[in-house]
Amino acid sequence: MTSPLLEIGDVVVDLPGRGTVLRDITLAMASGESLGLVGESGAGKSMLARAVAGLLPAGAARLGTIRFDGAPLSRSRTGRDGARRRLGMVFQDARAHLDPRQRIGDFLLETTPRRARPARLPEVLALLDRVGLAEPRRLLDRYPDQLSGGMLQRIMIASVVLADPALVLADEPTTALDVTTQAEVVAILDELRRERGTGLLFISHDLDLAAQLCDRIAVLYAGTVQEVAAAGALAADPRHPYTRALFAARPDIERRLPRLPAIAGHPVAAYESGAGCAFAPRCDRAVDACGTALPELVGTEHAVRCLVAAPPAPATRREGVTRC
Amino acid sequence: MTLALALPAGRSRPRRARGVLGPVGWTALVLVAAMVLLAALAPWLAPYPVDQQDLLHPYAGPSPAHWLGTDATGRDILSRLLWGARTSLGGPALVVALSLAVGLPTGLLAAWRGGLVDAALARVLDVVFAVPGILIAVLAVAVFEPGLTPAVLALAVAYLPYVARTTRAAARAQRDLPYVEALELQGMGGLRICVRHILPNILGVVLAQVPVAFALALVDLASLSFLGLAVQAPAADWGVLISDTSALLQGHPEQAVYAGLAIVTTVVALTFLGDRLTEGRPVARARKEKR
Repeated sequence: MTSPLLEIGDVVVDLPGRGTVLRDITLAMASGESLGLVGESGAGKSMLARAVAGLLPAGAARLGTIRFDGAPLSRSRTGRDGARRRLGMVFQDARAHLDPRQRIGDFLLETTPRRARPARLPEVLALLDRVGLAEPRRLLDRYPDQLSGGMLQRIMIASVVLADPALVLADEPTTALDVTTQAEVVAILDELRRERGTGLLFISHDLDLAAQLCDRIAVLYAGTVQEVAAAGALAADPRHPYTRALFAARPDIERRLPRLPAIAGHPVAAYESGAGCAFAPRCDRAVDACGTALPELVGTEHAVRCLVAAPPAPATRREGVTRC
Repeated sequence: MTLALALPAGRSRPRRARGVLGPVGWTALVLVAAMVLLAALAPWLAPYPVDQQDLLHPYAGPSPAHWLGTDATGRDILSRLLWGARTSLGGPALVVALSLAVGLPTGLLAAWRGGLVDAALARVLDVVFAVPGILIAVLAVAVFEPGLTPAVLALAVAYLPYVARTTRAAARAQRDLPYVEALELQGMGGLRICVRHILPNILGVVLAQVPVAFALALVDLASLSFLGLAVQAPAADWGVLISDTSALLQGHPEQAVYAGLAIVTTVVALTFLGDRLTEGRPVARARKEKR
């Protein structure tokens, strides 16, 4: 990794009236890399994406640095730096993120100068066809309320691809879609990304989906990164008790259980967690020390934030350095 | 045994495609157009000059010579109604157009910028709102001279807060909607977002005020004319025709009734027209958060 595409350093986000929602986030992405961000609801996944996009709610305070392509991104949403134009975002609820009074064609071509639009039209139509939308020409005259959620999400993806960004933030792009559409949308996203060498920050609460799509995965809990590793390594050898619990709690068709082993207790937000490890109260391996000090994120290739992290499994040993 | 389930209707009423008025809308459009045409063509349509008196036939009833009769000094009521339509329609239309022209940008600016700009603009609007329109008009006429122009300008100022406050409130609700954030993320400028995206989404709410404001301005201008501050005698105006109390006291309400009918028809037609023009496509609304 020479110069990272996205560099998140010691980012802390405080929301007015709620408190800290993100703590000590340090992550880096190489250009063309795809990083999965997984965690339960309220873990701060979306907030991290919003911090990168500069879309934090009014009054939110952000500490730390977010560098995109070497240049620091401004904190406020009104700050207009050129770098942000090379950032695309696919939202969970495509319908809410489209102007209901604007035709699809106008939406897709809005940032293109009026005179250049006819020349750009074939590209737009080809792209709509690529993302699996039939009769793209007729689609251009439609309004968002005349289309389904899946179609809108495809249009959203097409619009992001049209802008040709260096990094795409995908905030649970498939959560609002049914499973078959979900698979298609993910495949489209992946295909386009690989073709164009775009970086992808994929936010999901679906570990399997993230593991399938991403090169690396970061597991978030209570606003802190608990474990970062290559997707394969994480699936084969989850070291943080939380990651293990997440893997254990997912349904598997080959492994029919009478009841899924849910994680006891409720997820907490960063501001609700005490001095120690945020997961300690729900952790089945917690020791006394877990409640007093927040462990560091240790390791390079496979980093874990845990005092009692499981040692690397001998069979699939990788060059992760874990201090216990 | 069969179980019959009533399928829920998808929409409570069929959504009209944009631009299609429906029978009510068309009727309203025809009425408004007719009023405007009658006013524009008054010099050619009116059977008598507006101020031609016939002192021998005051308060004449309808006759072939005078379709709607005559007033206290024998002037033809139909002619006065036609001539009066010019100021009665033109005056309030100007008032509303001017206050829209200034109020829409003001409201959008306040909502978009927020903070100090918003606070300053909102307080100024509150102050203007607190002063009755008639009072502003009386002041304007006192400073300049009695006539339609100062009265219209003063009323435009007085009606500015209606438009600006409605715009501001509606635009503020749009400001934090996800689609605006998405547009901002695309690097789109505030002016473009306001004009191309927020404005179409709030226009229905703001334009719903127009027929009401038009009617109120019409009545205000009539009051000013009655006080001799706006439309000057012997020129006719619907408001002047209504407020001619001498005729009423003599037991001849005809001209007031005709002028009143003209006002009511115009305002009702405008209301329906505005309603039909602005409905159709759904607009962006805040939705409840999931959590």
